Amino acid sequence: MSEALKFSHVCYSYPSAKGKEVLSDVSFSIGKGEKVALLGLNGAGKSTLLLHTNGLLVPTDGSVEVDGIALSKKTLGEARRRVGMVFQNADDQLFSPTVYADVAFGPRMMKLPDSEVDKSVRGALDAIGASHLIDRATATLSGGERRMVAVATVLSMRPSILVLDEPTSYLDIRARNGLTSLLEELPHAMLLATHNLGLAKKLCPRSILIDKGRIVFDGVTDEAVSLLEEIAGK
Amino acid sequence: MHMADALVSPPVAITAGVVAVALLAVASRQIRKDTRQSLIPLMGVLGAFVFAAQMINFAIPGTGSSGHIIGGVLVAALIGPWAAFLTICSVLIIQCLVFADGGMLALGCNIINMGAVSTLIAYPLIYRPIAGTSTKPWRLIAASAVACTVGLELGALLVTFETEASGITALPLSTFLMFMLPIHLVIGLLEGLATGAVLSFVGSSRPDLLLAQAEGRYPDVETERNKKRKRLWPVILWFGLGALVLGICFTWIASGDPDGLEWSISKVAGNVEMGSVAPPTAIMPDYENSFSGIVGATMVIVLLWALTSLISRHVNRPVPIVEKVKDHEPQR
Amino acid sequence: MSVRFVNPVLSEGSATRNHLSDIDPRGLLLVAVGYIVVMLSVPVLNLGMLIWFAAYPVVMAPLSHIRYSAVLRKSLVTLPFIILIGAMNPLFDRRVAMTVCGMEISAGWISFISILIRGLLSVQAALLLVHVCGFNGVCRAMGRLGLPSILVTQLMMVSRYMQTLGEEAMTMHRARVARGYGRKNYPIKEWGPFIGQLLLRTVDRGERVNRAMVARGFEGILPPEATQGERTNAWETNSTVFVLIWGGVIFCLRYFDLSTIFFR
Repeated sequence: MSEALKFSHVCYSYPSAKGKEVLSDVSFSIGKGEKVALLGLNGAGKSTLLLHTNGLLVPTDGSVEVDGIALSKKTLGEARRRVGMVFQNADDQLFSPTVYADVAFGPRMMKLPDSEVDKSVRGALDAIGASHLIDRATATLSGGERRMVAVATVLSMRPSILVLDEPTSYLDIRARNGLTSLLEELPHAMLLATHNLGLAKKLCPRSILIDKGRIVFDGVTDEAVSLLEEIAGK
Repeated sequence: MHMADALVSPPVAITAGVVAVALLAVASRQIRKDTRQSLIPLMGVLGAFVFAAQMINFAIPGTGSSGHIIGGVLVAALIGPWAAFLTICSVLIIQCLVFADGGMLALGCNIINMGAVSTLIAYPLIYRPIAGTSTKPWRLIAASAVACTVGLELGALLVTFETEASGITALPLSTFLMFMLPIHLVIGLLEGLATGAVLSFVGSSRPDLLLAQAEGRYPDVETERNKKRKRLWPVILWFGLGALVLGICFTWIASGDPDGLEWSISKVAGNVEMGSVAPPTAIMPDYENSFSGIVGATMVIVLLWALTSLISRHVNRPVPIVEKVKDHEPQR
Repeated sequence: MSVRFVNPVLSEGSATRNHLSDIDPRGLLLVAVGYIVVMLSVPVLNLGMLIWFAAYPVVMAPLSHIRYSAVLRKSLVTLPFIILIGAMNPLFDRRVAMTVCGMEISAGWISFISILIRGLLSVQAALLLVHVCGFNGVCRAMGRLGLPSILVTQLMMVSRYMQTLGEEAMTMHRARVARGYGRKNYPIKEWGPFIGQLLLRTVDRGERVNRAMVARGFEGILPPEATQGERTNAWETNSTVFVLIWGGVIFCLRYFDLSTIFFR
């Protein structure tokens, strides 16, 4: 069985700051259906790592595989379909005027016929229990609804792994619980970057801890959390 | 500077509309060819930015009043003339439809006067040569001050011209010009200073944003595939062509003959009186007795109003106009 | 400090259903534009004919579940500039147009009133159009009538982010007011960096939005319907009927001088 996501010796430095590596020698893999938390302090390289999962950033060294497909210029389109990336700010994610249009964006970019687009949209909204939002204007959604719909916008592309950046920030308790149980129920593999340790513990048995661009721990979440607290205390 | 429908005649508005649509078609073709990947979302948020920036007014020194920017030159300095033109057009259309700023029919005029003049003339022909590839504050301020002033004066000139060609106002051309030009000289200078202030801030904190446009190279975060320099757009050629068309059309309209639509309507309507605006020496059209007509028509409309509102009050329970959509409530 | 765009002149009516919801937005757009063109083509001095054109908004308002008085009130907001220019007419055009009870009324006054009515009616037509179809509906209709798809996308994105950026501007503004010791307005020297800051945030947001789009397969060019809603509802008979009826009414109002026919 191939992995949903595999990083092999990924290194990255921003073109503007030569020599200074933001990620160095990052290797890990996530199996199908496995939910993994990505922990680390601000500036540890979490977001940079996430941007590598679907080729938004290209590693200066090393390689990334999605569903066994190595990322390259040719495979980019296919890889992006398989990686459902949910960004931290739902306002950036939901750029279309209506919920329908936004959830349909991915399938439409995949050039599916209209009937297929329609089916994926309804399927995705159904999966998050938000079918009633289908005709709403994105601007009128509540914060919690925005996050849910943001998840639907990538579910409609039928991805095999969800990559989420801080999914619960700015959410109140009710919305956070709703989102957590939704993520729990979804069968997809997940890579979840978060500062919300409770969420990580609840959702992900396994955690990857990065510090200064290196993986310092990869294993049971509870241990990762205590290690993180130790790093933070330094 | 937004022209309202009340002061334009259909022939002028339609001519301007045709020119505006042609410019829009060129702009969207130019943007399709553009290699900057993030251009489409950037244009979208910049359009919204213009609205947000207009919320925050700046103080006009010594007057106690305040003003806001139009933004054409500012946006063009960041994303180039054609993309900026399209962005400003979208702002104008939203101002018209959502805020009732400028009429629907006058939209073509407004797009030319405010959109095209600032982004397709003032920016490439005045701002660009003065600002060059510098990010020095004084150069950016000088460039935008001159560009915005010329742009607004030209716009005001066009407003006057279009209004006079429409013949709805009785204001003589010279009086109208004396009214419009000095005011817009001041407005233009202020717009220019404000634009320059923003640009010099951008120049000092993110010079790359200005230089990318100035040097014709665009950073592409993802692939850096745009190594090749972009050729200078044939803006001048297009503008020359547009101006020529515009000039010919306006001369034709202003030439005084029964203009296109009026003429065709008078053909259709046959003997119906066509009181097109007559020169002062002409005999007054015969509306002497129409006072009763005016009163009668007004009464009918008021009656109609009363009737429809009565019926609608009975048939449908009044629905609040500004109905906030409630959360969790299924629609339709 | 004006926060006008948080309160658009009329909110979009798309959320509420009304008698015109089933009419194709293209039909509504065509009728509205046709109405404005024909109404504006009425000779300035023919006030008797012009007044009849008020029938359109008066009838359309209840059909769209809104009181005409509300539309009228909203449209009055746009008058000041029109008055400014129109008020010159009585000064410059002193020809006598009609006598009422021995009082001479100049053509300038007639044309002034005519200009005001033109302004109000065309604004009302636009307001009602947006009220019925919603802004997005109008955009979609324009797109399907041939407006370049890039512009349609652009319009939708601007309307999408207007609120978001407006809130951002307000947050920044409040942060400044909170530390501003009562100073309310911005001298240009302060205003530049303030708006510049907003601009940089906007550019960053553009980059983030771009990422979200690219992550879902965007490659620089959007297909025409990419940011549009669902249901490419076909043009139905009731839309045709709607256009024909209003077309006929508008034609009659312009062709027959009803005031002369009925009240002379």
